[in-house]
Amino acid sequence: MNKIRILIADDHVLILKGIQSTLQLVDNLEIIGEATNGVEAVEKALFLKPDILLIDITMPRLSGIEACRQITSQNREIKVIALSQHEDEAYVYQIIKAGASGYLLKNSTREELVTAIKTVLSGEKYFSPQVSDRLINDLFSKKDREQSSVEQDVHLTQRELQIIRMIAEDLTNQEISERLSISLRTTETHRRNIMLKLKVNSVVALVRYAFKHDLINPDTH
Amino acid sequence: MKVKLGIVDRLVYSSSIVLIFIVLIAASGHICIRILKKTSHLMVVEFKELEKLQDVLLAVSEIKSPAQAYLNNGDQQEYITFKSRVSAAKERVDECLAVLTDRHNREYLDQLLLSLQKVDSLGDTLFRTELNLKPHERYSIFIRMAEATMADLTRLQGLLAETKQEVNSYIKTNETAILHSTITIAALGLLLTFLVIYGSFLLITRITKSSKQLLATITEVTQGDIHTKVDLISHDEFGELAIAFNLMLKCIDEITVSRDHYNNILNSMFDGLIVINRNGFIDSINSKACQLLGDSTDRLVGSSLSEFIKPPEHILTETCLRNRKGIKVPLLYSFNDLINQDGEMAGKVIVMHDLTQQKEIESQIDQIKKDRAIAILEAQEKERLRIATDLHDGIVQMLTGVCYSIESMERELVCLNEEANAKLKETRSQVDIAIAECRRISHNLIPLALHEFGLIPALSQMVNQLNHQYQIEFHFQSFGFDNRVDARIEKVLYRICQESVNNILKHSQATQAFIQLIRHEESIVLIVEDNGIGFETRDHKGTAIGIGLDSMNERVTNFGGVLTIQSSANNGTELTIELPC
Repeated sequence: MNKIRILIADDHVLILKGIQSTLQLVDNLEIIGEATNGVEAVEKALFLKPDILLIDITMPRLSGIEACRQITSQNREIKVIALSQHEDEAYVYQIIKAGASGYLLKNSTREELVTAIKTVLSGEKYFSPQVSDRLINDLFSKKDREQSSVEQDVHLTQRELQIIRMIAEDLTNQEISERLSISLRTTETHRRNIMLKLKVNSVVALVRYAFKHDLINPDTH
Repeated sequence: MKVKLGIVDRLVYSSSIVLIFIVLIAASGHICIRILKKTSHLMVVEFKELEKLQDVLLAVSEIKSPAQAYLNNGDQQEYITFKSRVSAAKERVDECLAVLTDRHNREYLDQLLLSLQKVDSLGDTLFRTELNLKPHERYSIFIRMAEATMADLTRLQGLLAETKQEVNSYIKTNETAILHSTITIAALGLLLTFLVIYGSFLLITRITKSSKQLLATITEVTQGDIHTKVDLISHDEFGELAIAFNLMLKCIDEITVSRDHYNNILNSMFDGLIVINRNGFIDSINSKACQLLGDSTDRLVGSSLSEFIKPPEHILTETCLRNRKGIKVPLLYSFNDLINQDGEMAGKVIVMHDLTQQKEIESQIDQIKKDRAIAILEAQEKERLRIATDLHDGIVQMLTGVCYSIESMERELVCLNEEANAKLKETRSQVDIAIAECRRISHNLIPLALHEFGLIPALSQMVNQLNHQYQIEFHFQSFGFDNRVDARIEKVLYRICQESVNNILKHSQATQAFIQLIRHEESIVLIVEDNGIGFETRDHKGTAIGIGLDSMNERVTNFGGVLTIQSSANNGTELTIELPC
């Protein structure tokens, strides 16, 4: 059985050595190279064609995310695992989008690291437990949204609903401002917001939308 | 200048001349009359002489008739007649002598008397009967008598002719005198008439000329040329009038100069000055006020001031008027009663202080303040980012390195000591906690995701965490965000969201909250709405208040944005923030 060939990219030598020493004693693993910036990582990855690339997100010259995108777009065989200090799911999304297969926090244990490598090599994704919790939360909240109808998804505020009703009553911006005791500019802003949120370009379309979703009759709200 | 010859004097002189002429005419008339009177008197004398001479002539001629009759009839009665006739003739001669002037030859009459004496004596001889004269002797006496009387008659005739001639000469003198005096008087009259006409013409011309000159100057003055002057017309009353008029002009000029001076001062003032009458219409206005009201003096005078400003409630009021050019002018103005000499209120005096420059400077200062505030915020954010990054990429990395060291130690020492192994594990977990703490601090300083990926990922991440941590259901939606916006705007909006979320968590008692970001072409709108208890947005004075909204409002204002709050008790809160981008 061939050893798993691993390339490590991190600008911190301390980390680099740490990972090396962590993985040295693991069977079937072979560290074939190191890179200390994004550009070097891309070059070495494409040249050495490792099985696994452990890459830091924050690196000089080229970020881990960008390097990952370049590598995976050119060689789909190379599995990339982000090795990051960031818990923020924004980073997770970004690097996954860039083609990475796993996301590990740097202070993960050796066992976790090995698990991740094996999981990823088997074609699955792997995320650190701290990160996966967040991803699941996000997933749930997104699911909530998907349950409602697509159009209702756009939330209209109380004020916006008031204004839509007044527009349906054929009131001018000036009249609306007077009725709500707000400035004309504010009314205009609300109006523009409504149009943009509902993706309508005319008052007719807006009123049609309002009738369709039963926004006109105030009793329903 | 003294009047040398006034009109009255002139009139007096002229009248004197006229008077002299009249006297002259009267004198010449008088002389003429005197001459006429004298000649007529002489003529009367001559006529009397003539009459007497005629009488004498008649008497003499009648003398011989009784003698002739005696010769014929021899009647002695005739002698008496003869005698009476002779004496009558003598009487006549005497009378004639009494009348006759010295110019005549009296010898004639003396001779006549002698001749009459001779005739008388001849008559005596003739009529003496006692002599008994023969007829032829008587006849010859008669002839002698007749011859004598004839001679007398001839002499008398001569005398008569002389007298007649004299009368004629007097008549002629008279005629000449009348002619001359007529000519003289007529000439004098004509001369006088001419003089009077000429004099009056001169006087009238002079008066007309002077008055015309004065009138011309007055016209010039009324047309505004105050610096004109009447030329010295003459040395009479008109001259005096001209001098007085010039003096008056000079005085007016002096007064006018001072009025111009005041006008210059008023028109050079920085402040606008307007005087209105009791009805509120503009009476006078200086140039600055015209500039402020945006129209010309002609058009502004007479128009109502209420078109621009209202009488203020306080003595000094700040306002922003829209002038005739449609420009808004900020100003500070005051209304004061205009009191006239009688102590009555005649209108109002309005002083307007232009605040345009001040406002410009204020807005500049304001802008500088905003820019400073932005710069401070920016510096703060930068510093936070630096610390966050340092924490993340420095300390956390180092701690991670420590983790790896511990792990390798673990491997090396795993067989040695159970106790040591446990201690290492504990150390490792402490380092992990330290790493987590560092990450938390870093995230609280600024989420690196915001810096790295922008507002939308950072906010959705924030909402996720909120939903994870709290019971309130947070929703986040964005509209129209295809690209990232300016990093400063991202940060300020993120901070505003953080602040709003804190407010919601602390005060709202809401169960739901919606955060929405809408990207317009030139602005970004952030709406934060909750269904909580809300609050009164206005205090009893009517000014907007907010719970912890002041700093937010300041932040928004600094970036040139607008923050509007819509809230009322138990009706939720809706924050709308529009920032230009």
